[in-house]
Amino acid sequence: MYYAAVLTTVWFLCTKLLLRSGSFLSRRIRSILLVVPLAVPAVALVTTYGIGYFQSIDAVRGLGEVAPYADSFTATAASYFAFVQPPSPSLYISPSMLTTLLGAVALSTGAVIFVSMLLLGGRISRRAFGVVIMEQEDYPEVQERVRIMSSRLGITAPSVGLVEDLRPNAFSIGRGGDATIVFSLGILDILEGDELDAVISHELAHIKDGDSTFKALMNALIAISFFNPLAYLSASAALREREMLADERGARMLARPQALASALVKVGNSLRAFPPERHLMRLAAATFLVSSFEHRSEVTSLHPMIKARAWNVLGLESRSIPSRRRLAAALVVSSLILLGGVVASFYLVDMQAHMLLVFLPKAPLAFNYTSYNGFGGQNTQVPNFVGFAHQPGFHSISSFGGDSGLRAAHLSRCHLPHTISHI
Amino acid sequence: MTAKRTYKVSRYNLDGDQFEGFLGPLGAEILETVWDSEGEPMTVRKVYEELRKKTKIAYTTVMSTMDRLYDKGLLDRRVERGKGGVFFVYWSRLGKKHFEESAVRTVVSSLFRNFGSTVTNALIEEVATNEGDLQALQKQIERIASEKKK
Repeated sequence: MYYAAVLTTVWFLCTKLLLRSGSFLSRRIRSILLVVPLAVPAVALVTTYGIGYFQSIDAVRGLGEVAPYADSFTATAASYFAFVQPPSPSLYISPSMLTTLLGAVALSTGAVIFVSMLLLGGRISRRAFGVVIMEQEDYPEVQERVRIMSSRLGITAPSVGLVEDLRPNAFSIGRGGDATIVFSLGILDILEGDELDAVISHELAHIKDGDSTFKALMNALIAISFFNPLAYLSASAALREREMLADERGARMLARPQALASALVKVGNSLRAFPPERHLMRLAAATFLVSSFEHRSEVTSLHPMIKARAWNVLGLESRSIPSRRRLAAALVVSSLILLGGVVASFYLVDMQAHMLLVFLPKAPLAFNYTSYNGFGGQNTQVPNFVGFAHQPGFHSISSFGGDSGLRAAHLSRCHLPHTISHI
Repeated sequence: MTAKRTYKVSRYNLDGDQFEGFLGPLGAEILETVWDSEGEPMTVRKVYEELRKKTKIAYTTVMSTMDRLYDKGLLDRRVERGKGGVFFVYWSRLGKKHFEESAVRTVVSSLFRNFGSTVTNALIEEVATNEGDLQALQKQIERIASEKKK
């Protein structure tokens, strides 16, 4: 997990630098590149738990050695699943178990979020926002425009809804044939003609790009890396790219792409009359939305500055001072986190090894599969994955996750008593 | 919230049931819904959802009717911030009983102004079909007469 956090950070930095220098990449590729650092912990967790689990089952059945990645938690779970008596009385609680537990909780939370957003996201946000599905008599010209633009984009026309909000906003919910494009009374009030077409094309582009699935994935990955502030930065950067992508795709469908810019400016100006949103419920519900046309400048913002978007649509990429400042901030934060991450992982694993030696100095070590399986009582068959453990200070990075510290302590006790005093 | 004020009826439809005569079927239904909420301000959507339980109706129809009731001074509204953003909430300016009295009085006094004794005769004849009502009317006339003497 520590490795994964460090990797996320490094990856994020590289992606950022790459994107900074390479404006040749399309928005779609940029957004996908930004997902990669977020996916690292998820992939790491799934792989280590997966391998650890299966190998632990084998080990418990006496078919093989315990996996390097397997820790006490996975191994205990494996023994239960394999209908084998767990190696009692070796059940104990170690700090690394908490890490594993945290990872397992994060992984399952991510999975639950992903699935529930895909299956229930539409229904939840329709209810949370009080979306009224339009009848034939409701804004027939808007509905007609949605139909025309949908056929131009080659997608099934989504249902059209409205919310009572007097602030200008539009958003889309759901995906594929089940999608709904929603307008606030405020936006229907201030936009006209081709500006309305522009907003419709933007939202339809979101639907066509499958951005609700994209967003569900982002939220799931954030949940897995909840401890890493960079995950939030990376996710919001990826979603910004999707936003720009929808803008560009939408603008290409318009006879007059400037209409999108003018719609954005109108929305921006009109929003100034309203104080910023602080309603917790709304923020919570907003996670289920694919997109929201309005601009929110807080940390939760999924939308780039309206000005930047307007310039983008007009074909004038704005690469001005604020973006450089953002890069600098990202660099500083990244390096701090990188440093913090490495130090913290060293510290944690050391601490865990230390605690084990303090609290369990004489107790038989847990998950001593070798003795449990009857391959001899001495811990002579310790796999070589803890090779670094011989050098004090390095054992903290000897394994991808799990009980590396425990194993290090274990080894230290068995083979290298002189290192104990060092720890 | 119901200030003591009179409602000026602009027209009365003879075919309407109850308040429909004054407000039209949808206007009456909306006002009834708002009265039923017992003073709790209602959004257009809440009223719309209540009406949807009984009949198929479009949101914008409810919205424009409530807007008209506001213009007529029957509903009052303010902008409120809450779940789902910034929106209008409506409440009735006249209580149900108060509205009934006020509206009927305006119609009757308009009839009196134009047709005087014909209206009196018609009223008495209408009332005379029921013995109880007739006695009540008699008592009311006596009471008003004695009050005037004082």
